[in-house]
Amino acid sequence: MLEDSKGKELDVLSGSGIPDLSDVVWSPTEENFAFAADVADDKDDGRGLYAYSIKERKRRLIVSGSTLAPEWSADGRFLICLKTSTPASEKLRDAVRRNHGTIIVLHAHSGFKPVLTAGKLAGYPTPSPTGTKIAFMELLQDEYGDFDNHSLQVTDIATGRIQKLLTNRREPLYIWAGDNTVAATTYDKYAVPTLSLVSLPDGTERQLVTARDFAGLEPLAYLSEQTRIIYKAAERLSDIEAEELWAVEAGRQPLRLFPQAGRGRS
Amino acid sequence: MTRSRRWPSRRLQIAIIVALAAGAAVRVFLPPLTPQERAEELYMDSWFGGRWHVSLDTGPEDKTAAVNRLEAALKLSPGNTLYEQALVWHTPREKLPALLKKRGLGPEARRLAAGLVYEHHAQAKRTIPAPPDTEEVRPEEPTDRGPTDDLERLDALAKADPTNALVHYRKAVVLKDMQRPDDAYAEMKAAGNLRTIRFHFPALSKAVHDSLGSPLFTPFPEMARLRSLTRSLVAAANERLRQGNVVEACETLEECCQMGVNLASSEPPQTIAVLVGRAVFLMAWAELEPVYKDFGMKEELAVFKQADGAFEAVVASCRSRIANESDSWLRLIRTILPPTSIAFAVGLSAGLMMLSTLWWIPAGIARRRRRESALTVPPWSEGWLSRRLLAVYIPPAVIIACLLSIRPSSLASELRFAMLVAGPLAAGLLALAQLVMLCFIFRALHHRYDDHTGERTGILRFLFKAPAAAKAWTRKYVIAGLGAQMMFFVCCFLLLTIAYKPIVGGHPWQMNRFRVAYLSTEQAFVKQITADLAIPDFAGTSIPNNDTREPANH
Repeated sequence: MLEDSKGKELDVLSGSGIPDLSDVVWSPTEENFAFAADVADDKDDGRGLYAYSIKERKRRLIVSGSTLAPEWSADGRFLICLKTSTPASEKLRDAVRRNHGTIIVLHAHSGFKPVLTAGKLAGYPTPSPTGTKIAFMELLQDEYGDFDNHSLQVTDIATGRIQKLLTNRREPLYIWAGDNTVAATTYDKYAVPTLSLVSLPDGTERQLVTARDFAGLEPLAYLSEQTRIIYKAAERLSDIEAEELWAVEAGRQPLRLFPQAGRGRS
Repeated sequence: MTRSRRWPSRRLQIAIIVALAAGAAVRVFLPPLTPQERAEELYMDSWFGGRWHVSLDTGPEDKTAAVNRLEAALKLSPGNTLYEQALVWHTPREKLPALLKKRGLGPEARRLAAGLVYEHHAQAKRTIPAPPDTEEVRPEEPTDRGPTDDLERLDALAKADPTNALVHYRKAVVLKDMQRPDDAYAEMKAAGNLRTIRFHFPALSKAVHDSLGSPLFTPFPEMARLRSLTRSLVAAANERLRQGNVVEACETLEECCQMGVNLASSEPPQTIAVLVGRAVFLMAWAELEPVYKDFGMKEELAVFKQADGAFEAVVASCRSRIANESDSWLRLIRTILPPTSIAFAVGLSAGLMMLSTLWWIPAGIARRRRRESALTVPPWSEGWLSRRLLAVYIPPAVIIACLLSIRPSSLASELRFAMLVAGPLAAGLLALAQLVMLCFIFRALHHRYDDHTGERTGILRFLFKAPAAAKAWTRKYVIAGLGAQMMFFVCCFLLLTIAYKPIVGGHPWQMNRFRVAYLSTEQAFVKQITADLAIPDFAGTSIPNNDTREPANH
């Protein structure tokens, strides 16, 4: 059921009419929202990404096929999603094939026309704060022929130019730190995590933290006013009890947040 | 024909049916009184329900041995170790120590009892029991025992039963909670060296079956425990790797991978074990694969990649098998069969008895009072309908009885599946027989109507334009015919209920044979697809020397 801010009913989308509804994301301008569904009465096979216009009170299929992770740019101009139609391959695990695909960028103000496609085995597309670039992870073949090399890449929506930032055997974690910098955690061959800042124009990498005591350093947020990265340091893999919150800025020692709090409560 | 010459008389028929119903009710609803009989009963159910101590599917090469073990299991003599295990399994956990004291159980049953007693206390009171053959095994009041006490008791348990892998797994869990990953790993390795997870596996399979909505198993937290343990070991390996100790990290991760493979290849083979084993394997493999690649360990990488690929294929096969329409149908049958069969049996018995009472006995009384009526001839009194009824009903009844009495272990896998399909076919035959019987009845009514009117009428005219009197006869004969069929069916059913256990064994209304047939085909399927999962033991790994660099910390 759709309601406006005053609680007035706008429309009802029945669950039976839109089976397998998932990934509902609102546009920042609140004019549209997108969702993935499998609508049998549409053309093609019905499975795809739909956009619902609040003004027109109707939905439309904007990307047919199986899609993942729809996300709006901050200004609401672009809708970004992954289209997963990767064929089966011996070198690709089934789970990888299901969660990776081609990034499609749709322009919301021109009838959701595709303006950019990028990557073949891409995942985790993340628009930059101003919505002009998209960072994503592309799987590349390693020296053994497996698609196990994780390459962090950035594409410019206007020009379509793709820039490789870094490549790692283990999957890096990243966030945008401003519009021209990405904060990413990589691992060496001893699985020691390193949190770095990667500048976009020239791809230079600046290490912030290397921590052998921690199994993971997950960047969570960027505070633009203080130019600080907030990250989560996990002492053990998948152990919530052993997680701590830290903050770091370039050229300074990392600072543990809430040091008085007990473990697991930070 | 006078009524006094009819045989069997109605009184005799009623008496037989009442006696049969009473016997069936006693057989089904009154549990055996002695604990031994109770254990036997429960053991039979549990054996067919999946908690097997005997594997049915052992392949053609040792079928004789399997049949012998099956026979041994079915005999349930008090000296039988399987019987003892069943008795232990079904005895309330708090009474297990008393049972151990009272009876001289064999080593296998004692081992099982030790595990169960430990399970009971570890789950309910978080205290660890001592070995079952000592005085300390009896239940204790909840205390604030710490992990050190738990370890001491587990040590005593391991000393009393050095072949029980479960104790080592438990110790590993306790050590993991004590933040001692090295010791936990050592315990895991000790458990792995025993090369058996039989005591762990049934609980695991039950838990996952339950999580998938199968009615065959009851909840059990073992799967969560094993996953937690694996996660802990993987974390410990990761820590070792970060410290530069690649050899130990690899050994730990390989052990975890091996544990996943062991689970997937466990006996009896089941789909669910494959899924759990896959989850455990992947947890460790996600860490192990980058290490192998980074340090150039091509040989080990190739071996474990083969296992990974085999797992991938196995899971894909499982997925397609589950998605397969006919298998979905079979799973549906398996899901609804036990409650439906019981409800069907109760409802059918009660309903048919009521129908017989309402339709058959009052009709007989009415006929007796109006004996001047020329057309009220009960169909079963003349013999023709009885003969036809027997001719139509006996073959399908025999087929069903044969199907229920065949033991799946004595058949090849394909035949087991065919048996499963034959059940619905037999039901279809019965339905067909109903139609044939109705045709017989209408034909007889038609002839009788012609005799009465003295002229021949077409069957359609008889059916659709018969006079009111003929309709009344039709109704009466149809009711009487259906009543006779139902009575016959009830008699067969009740006889089968009473005679099932002495002839076949097990509980008839649960239709365990069909469930076993299905599960056996599943076992064969999983066994076939897990054949590639063998991972050789590495005599030694060629890992480069450890890194000696200084750790970079916060």
